[in-house]
Amino acid sequence: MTKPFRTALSWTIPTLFVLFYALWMKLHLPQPYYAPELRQILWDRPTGIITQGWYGRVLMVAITSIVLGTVVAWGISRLKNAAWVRFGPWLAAAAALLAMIVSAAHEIGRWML
Amino acid sequence: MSTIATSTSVMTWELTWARPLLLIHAALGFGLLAICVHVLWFAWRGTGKNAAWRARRYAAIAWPMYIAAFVTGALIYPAYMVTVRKPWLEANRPAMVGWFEIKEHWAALGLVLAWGVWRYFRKSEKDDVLTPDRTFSRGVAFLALLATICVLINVVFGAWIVMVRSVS
Repeated sequence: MTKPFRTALSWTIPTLFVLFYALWMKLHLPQPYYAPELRQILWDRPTGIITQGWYGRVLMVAITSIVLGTVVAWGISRLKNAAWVRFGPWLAAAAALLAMIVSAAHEIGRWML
Repeated sequence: MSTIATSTSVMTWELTWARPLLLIHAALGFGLLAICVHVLWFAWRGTGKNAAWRARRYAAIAWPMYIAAFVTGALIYPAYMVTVRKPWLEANRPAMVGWFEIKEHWAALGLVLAWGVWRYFRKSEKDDVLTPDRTFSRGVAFLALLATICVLINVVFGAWIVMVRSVS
């Protein structure tokens, strides 16, 4: 594996994205599009009917995971032992599975119980 | 109900284009599912040169197709909200709202997983990362499996909701 940094990017960004996506609400992090005045500027629609917070959440999660994922990938690519690269996709898959379960459990609790 | 009435009077182009966009969205969804199964199949077959080449080709189609399906879905969402979910679904079939929301979450998760798989295969040839490392290639195949599951759930629940109540 001659380019550990670029290889690591393939799974650091997805790992952080899915984790932040699932935990963003629980971490009480901001969702900028919820601000009514900003919503009026960006999208002239009545408030209260469109759940625009979701778009803001995806945007913030994407930006955060790209920035942090690049830093993390660069950091671990500097390590002398490259054995970690082999397990990267498994880490991303485990994080994705967790995010799928957390998001599904949230909606099941909200709408079905 | 008054908020819904206000919304439908304001949302002109969303309601006009909702059905054509829904058709495009559905076609992209079914096509994407087929492509994802191909990516999964060739990713699972391992590190042979032919399998890797095919996986890379299919992943290169899957990723932009996923974006197109995602964007068309996002464009339909306001119309779905004011013509299906708020006036009818929440009152009559609340469980279906839950399934739809799960589908939406998994669509976002699957999008980034598809990106990871596409990027891996795109870089694999140049960087020679497709060395016969079973742990690594199986991990990427598992990512492809999760992305395929996300797309499958989206297609199934999307089609189910449309059969019960479609945007108008």
